[in-house]
Amino acid sequence: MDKKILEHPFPRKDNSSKTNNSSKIDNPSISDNYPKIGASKTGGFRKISRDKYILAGIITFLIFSLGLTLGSIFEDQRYNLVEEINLEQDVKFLSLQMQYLFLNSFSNYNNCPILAATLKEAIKDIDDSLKGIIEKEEDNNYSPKRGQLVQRRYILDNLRYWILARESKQKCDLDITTILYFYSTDCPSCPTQGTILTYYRQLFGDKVLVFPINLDLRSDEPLVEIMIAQHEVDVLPTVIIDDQKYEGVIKKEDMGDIICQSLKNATQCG
Amino acid sequence: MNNFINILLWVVYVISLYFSVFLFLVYVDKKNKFREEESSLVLPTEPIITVIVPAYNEEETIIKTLESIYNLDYPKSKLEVIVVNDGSKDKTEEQVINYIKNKPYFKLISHLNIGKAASLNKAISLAKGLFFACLDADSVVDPLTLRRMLSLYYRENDPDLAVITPAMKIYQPKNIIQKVQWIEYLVIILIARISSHLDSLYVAPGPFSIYKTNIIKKLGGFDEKNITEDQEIAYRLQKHHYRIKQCFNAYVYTTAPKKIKPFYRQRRRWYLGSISCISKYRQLIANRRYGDFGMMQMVKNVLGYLLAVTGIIAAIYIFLIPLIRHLKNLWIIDLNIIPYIKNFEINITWLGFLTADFRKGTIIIFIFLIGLYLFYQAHRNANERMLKLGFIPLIPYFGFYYLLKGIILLLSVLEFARSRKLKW
Repeated sequence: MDKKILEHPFPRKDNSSKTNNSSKIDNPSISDNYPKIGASKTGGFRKISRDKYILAGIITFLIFSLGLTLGSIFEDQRYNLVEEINLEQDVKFLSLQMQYLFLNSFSNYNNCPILAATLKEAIKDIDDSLKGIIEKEEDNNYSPKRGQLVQRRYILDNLRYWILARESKQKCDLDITTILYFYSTDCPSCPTQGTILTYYRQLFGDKVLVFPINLDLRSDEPLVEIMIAQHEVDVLPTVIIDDQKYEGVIKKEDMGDIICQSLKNATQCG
Repeated sequence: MNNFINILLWVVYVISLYFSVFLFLVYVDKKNKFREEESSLVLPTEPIITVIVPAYNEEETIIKTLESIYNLDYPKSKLEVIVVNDGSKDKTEEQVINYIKNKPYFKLISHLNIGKAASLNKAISLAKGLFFACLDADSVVDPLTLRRMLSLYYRENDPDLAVITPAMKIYQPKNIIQKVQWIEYLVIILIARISSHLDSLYVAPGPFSIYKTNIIKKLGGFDEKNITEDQEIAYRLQKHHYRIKQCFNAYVYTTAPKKIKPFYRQRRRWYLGSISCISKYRQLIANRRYGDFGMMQMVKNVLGYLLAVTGIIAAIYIFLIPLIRHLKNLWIIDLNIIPYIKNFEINITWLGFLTADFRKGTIIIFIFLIGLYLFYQAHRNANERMLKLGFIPLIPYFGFYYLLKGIILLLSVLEFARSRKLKW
């Protein structure tokens, strides 16, 4: 910091000129001959630390810019990391697909447990790593383009896992429930449904697989539109459990019953 | 709505940062000057000083206050003490009469309850002193305070120096509410010292500020309609280009409210008084003629209130609404959080770190650092040890004390707005 700028004399101790024209305007009742400070010294104006106002402005601007820079640097980092995760997901999905293909072509159902494990792990991964990002992106769009791509990608991932999970369930007779969850950020009762779904996902662990589809992206991602048409979604929230469609919020108890009917042996169902 | 709140928050952050940086710059600039500032105890002359003690139902504390005046390091022949009994209903009067026996320089005037400002004005009309000081019965004064303040007066040697304010500390803080205020007052002392160097003080605190009698008389005494007469007089003095200086080591100890309710009442009175003063002297806002006081202090006062109100509303939006949502969620799942606890794992990942908001975060960190620095300097400035009262008062001080003050401010602003509407 430039010392010269900071050093500023305090020109107060000057009692030479005593005439003051400003006080008369401000308060006519005060006698004019009474000596007044400050205003008399700089021609009717008191001292202004202008250099400090400017310096403070510059420093504020620098800190502000530093914040913006750090923000974009870390944002880049974040998207890079997301890309890495997506790449990992691609490999995992490919592996799953191959496992499924193997299973189909050789009808070797011994591979089922491996497939189930891989599937559950992949879904858990995508949930752990990307869910926070997605929620963040839904809240505020710092770079709308990239954010939107991340969100679209998330939906596509969810959908392909959903398809694979449904098929594997039939082929391998897996004891899982697949739940497709249509919602949007401005739907008032969706948070309630979301909470209930999260609750059962927590309760049943990897037996309940929830695939959220955000309808805000219907104009960007054609597949969302296809899903809407396919399942004739016109109420939010809509939940598809296994292949059964439920419109509107499913209450906690009802949701529990539906899941327990779908699962063969879950200790949580009592 | 989200975007609107976001922009509002940005404005709050950037303006707060600007004021913090400005305060920091002034402090850093004046630091060397501060170090040399040492008031001597030797005075060229010892003028007559009048001490006015307004009292309304103060039987418990009045003697302690009078005792501290009696113990002032100043010739008794140059002191005049006027106790104004403002229609007390308790034994205040008896106690004072008993105490002032054989102390000829103590006077007592009694009248029916007319309010503090009017009591003070009545006493000022009788005051013989070059300066007069007011000392509320809830405060005690350090023996050296008067000498230190007068020495500052003679050093400044400025006929327009109208008020010298002391450094107010909290008298023997006992519970947590008082301890938090003890910290707050130390910070206020430092900020007042910085403001004093910019000739921007806007409060001449009631307890033992010394006022130049002839100047106050000329300005017509205290405003009897204002609820914070000590702020009103300071704004009025500033308006007429008189000076107010702080004597940083002239200590006065005041009793802080012990409970939330009196605390709320005190702050509400301060804020309401302050808002009405700003509104009364609004022509000074951003008025270049008033130098730093007009351009910085007045603007800061106005913006400070606006920012605090916006900040509180934003905080409610950011914290309260999600909180309500979480509570609602808990209710939806019938408070059954066991599955969550079972699956609970702390997941601190690089990605989690990267989702933080670094843009606003940087500004907040800088504001906090400046605050921390001034917090540290405030202790040195007031000659108090850091953590004298331990760690515990720091938790509310840094945690939610300012939020609490902001809420009181918000309520006061609403009240003021409502009362104005009624008048129109």
